[in-house]
Amino acid sequence: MTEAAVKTIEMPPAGEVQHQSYWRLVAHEFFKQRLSTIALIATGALILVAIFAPYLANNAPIILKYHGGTYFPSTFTYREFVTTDWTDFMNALPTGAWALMPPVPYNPTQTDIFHRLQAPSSGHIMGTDDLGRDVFSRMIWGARISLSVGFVAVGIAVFIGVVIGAFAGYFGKWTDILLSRVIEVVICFPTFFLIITIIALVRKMNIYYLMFAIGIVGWTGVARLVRGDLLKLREQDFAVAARALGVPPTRIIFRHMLPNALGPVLVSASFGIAGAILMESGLSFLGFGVPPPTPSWGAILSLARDYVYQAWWLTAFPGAAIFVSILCYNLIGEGLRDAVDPRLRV
Amino acid sequence: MAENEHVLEVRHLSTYFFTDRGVAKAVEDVSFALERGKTLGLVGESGCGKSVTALSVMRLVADPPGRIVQGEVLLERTDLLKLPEREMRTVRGSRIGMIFQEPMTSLNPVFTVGNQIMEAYRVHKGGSRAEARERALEMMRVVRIPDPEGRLSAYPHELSGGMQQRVMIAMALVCNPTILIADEPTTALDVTIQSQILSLLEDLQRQFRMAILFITHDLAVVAQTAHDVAVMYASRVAETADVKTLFRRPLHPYTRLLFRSIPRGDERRKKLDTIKGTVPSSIHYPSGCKFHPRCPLAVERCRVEEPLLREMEPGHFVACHRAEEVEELMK
Amino acid sequence: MVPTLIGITLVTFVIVQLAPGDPVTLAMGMQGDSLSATRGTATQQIVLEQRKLLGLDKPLWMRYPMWLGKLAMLDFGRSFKDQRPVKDILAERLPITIQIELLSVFLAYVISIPLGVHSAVRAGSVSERITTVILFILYSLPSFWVAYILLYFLAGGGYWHIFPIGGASAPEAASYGAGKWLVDRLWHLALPVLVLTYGSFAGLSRFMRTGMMDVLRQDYIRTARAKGLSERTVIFKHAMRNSIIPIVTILSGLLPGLIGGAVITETIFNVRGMGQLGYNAVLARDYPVIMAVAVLSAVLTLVGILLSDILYAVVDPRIKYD
Repeated sequence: MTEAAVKTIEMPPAGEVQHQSYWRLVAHEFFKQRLSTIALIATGALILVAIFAPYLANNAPIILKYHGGTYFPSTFTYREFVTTDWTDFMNALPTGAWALMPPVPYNPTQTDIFHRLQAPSSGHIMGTDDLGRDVFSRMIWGARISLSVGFVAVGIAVFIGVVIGAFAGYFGKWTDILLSRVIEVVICFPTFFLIITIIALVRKMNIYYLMFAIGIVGWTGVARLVRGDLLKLREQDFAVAARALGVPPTRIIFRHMLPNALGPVLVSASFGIAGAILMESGLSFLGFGVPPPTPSWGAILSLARDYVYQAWWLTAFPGAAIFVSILCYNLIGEGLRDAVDPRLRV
Repeated sequence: MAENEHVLEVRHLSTYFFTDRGVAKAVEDVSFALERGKTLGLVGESGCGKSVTALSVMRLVADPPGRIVQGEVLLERTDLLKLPEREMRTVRGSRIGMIFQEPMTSLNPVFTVGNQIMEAYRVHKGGSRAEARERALEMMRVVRIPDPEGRLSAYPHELSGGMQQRVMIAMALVCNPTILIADEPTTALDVTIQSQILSLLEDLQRQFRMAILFITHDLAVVAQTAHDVAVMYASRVAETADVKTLFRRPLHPYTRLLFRSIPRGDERRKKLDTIKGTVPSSIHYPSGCKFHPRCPLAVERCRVEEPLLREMEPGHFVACHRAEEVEELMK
Repeated sequence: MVPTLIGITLVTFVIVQLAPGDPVTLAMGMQGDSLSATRGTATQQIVLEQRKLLGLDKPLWMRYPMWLGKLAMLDFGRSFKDQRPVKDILAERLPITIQIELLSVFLAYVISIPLGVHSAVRAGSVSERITTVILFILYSLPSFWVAYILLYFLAGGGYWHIFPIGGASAPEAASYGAGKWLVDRLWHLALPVLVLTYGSFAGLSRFMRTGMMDVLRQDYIRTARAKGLSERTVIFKHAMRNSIIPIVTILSGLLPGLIGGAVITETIFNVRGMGQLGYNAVLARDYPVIMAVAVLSAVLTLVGILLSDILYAVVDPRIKYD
């Protein structure tokens, strides 16, 4: 050959290429989307509101300095104050005593007949309902119901769906045929109607039955997703290898395959929470939700039915709250969906 | 190049793709000409820009993100790039026909084969359904599809790959175009079918005196069907000549290396020759001559200055600074 | 299909059997407190007879096939509330639900398909982004809230009174001529159908959009353009025909939602359809009606699924239906 100076191609220096774990990648893609990130923050705020409800809306003070002692009435129940009506107590606070009140000084269940159906004012930011209860306080406490029902119901649904879907997808043949029929049967039933039927079977309604009812009716979407994924995954080399090595099926399913299928399940879960919140408010609206006097956004709306034209605030606020929470979870779901989609990978 | 018989002249065509990651210069300063009744083979590796060149001629490049940024495409002296879209549509399918690589996916699965051929005819020539049907049948016979009447109402998925490609050819030629652009028409077919299609195209060319722009990465196909060849590398034409000259005496290092890397049955070698390095990304081309990082003859000038096509002998153009030394240095 | 049918009936049967209380005593208890107070032998007699009538004297495993048999004869028993044959009650309510469903599906497709096509063809444009945002917001709005807002502003509130407050027809509708009756019915159902349907615009049009975008990426679209076809023809003939295919399968997904969602909507608008019937039946623990509504809705949904499978085979020449 000749003495020609040959230029070599340069490779990037070792160590600059970073390997990211799957979830890191997903998170990165998720946060690139502004709307979804905002929704996530908003949801975080909502969750905080729900958790700290006793400190945000209560007629009992957060900190009370009284007769030399320091008390935390909104956190603990004290023997001395067991029968105290906090509203009266705070009105007649002796000098020398000091209290730190929650921002909304009303408890969701305290009634005040003299101030029923009041339009929003400085005293009651969101007005009062037909029993004189402060709407804003009920809204704050209602967040607890909506969010907890949302999370638990979806948790149940995802659990059932993943298990059934995984077994149907992995074992195939008869198991799949049988389980697919089961899925089909559940799908055929009108969801809402089925839930109210189940609820009607219960003697004494409480929040746990509600969560259970919504969860047990809503697992089919996840089941189909997981089933589809596993049907594909079981034919891939790593699964065949695991089988050949004698790894027991449950281990293959839960340790090797499901982590791959979890992305879409997470997306489904987020939309599921939105759906569950909608379901819960719908049920409470019809009277099938948590029994009174527990506040729920749907229940407030239910009240509003009789006062649609007179008390607009009873319709506006709970509806807006339900809307916003659903919107946020849907946005998170959308964001996740794009973050998880392998086709959008750069 | 003789001026009289050129049905298509492409001059300094450049097509760029404007993406988030940068500008991909897929086609850069490409020029060639097609003569009536002759085939020009456009050869190159995947990604060298040959398909985009063909699509640019037809103005089928998706805009955004692609755009033809310079050049002229003269179809019998009309510059296609300057035509309003409405008029360009009268050119597509009627004066220039095009067939693609994957016949299965290139035919609409929900319409019958006959329907699609008839459509190609009626959109340009009008006419009644009966006329179009007759014409479609005639074309199907020309492309040697057995039992045309029966096949008229068949759906694409009911036909074999070779049959589908014949349908595509029929569709492209039903309006008797002057030019046929064939983008890797046989790559997705079995070798035996491949030779059938190639001989069909040869016969059709003779019969209709069509100019064919034949795009492929397969040098053997080029040797068989092309009269002239243009070798492309990384968006540019590296070398162009008539087929005999190119095969006998390639003057561009890339072309020489390409020929060397083809496995030959009559030689006993232990290892296959490869061209070291990889094809550069169209967003980040090397400076100067795009081939210089992989070229055994590269010198400082190659890194700095882009070589232009030079006529080394009549009709044989090479884009290399050291074209004179290639024969000597690369046995 | 048959196993699913059996599954449906079995699940309904089991759920209802789990209900607390004996249907007979419940029914009799509902008919008057006086009966439940007396414990004379006369009452015992009545109770025994009733139980025999309802087949409650037979063991569980016999009751199911008996019920199934009656079902096959379209004998749904009698309503606990008013003793009327459930079959008659259903006959009254079913037409309205079917009308609502048909209108809803029609509205959903009529709005979503053009929107989806527009979004696909003009992807990334300002109008497309705005449309996406609006649809997304619509999708997240709770239907009962929307119902009240609509009622407030368009029906009974202090603003316009374009639509009636409720009901499926005006009280005098029976005396209308066919044309007038139809218009009156449509006018009454407009708001409920809108409330039931708006939520699906987002999903359906997004589905259409994705499908369309997928289709537009296909090779045969490039071929169509290479043939010299106008963009219009390419989209509305070549692309549409292919994107319609998956849309048809969505049909089966729309139906269960309709019957379910209808419960709230029918209650708010006081429309006497299956949804409202089901709701009232659950409130009153009227088990024969509950079972009938459950089974009927599930069966209708199953029929819907079958229909969309058949349609799919019709629309896609690649599918061979056997």
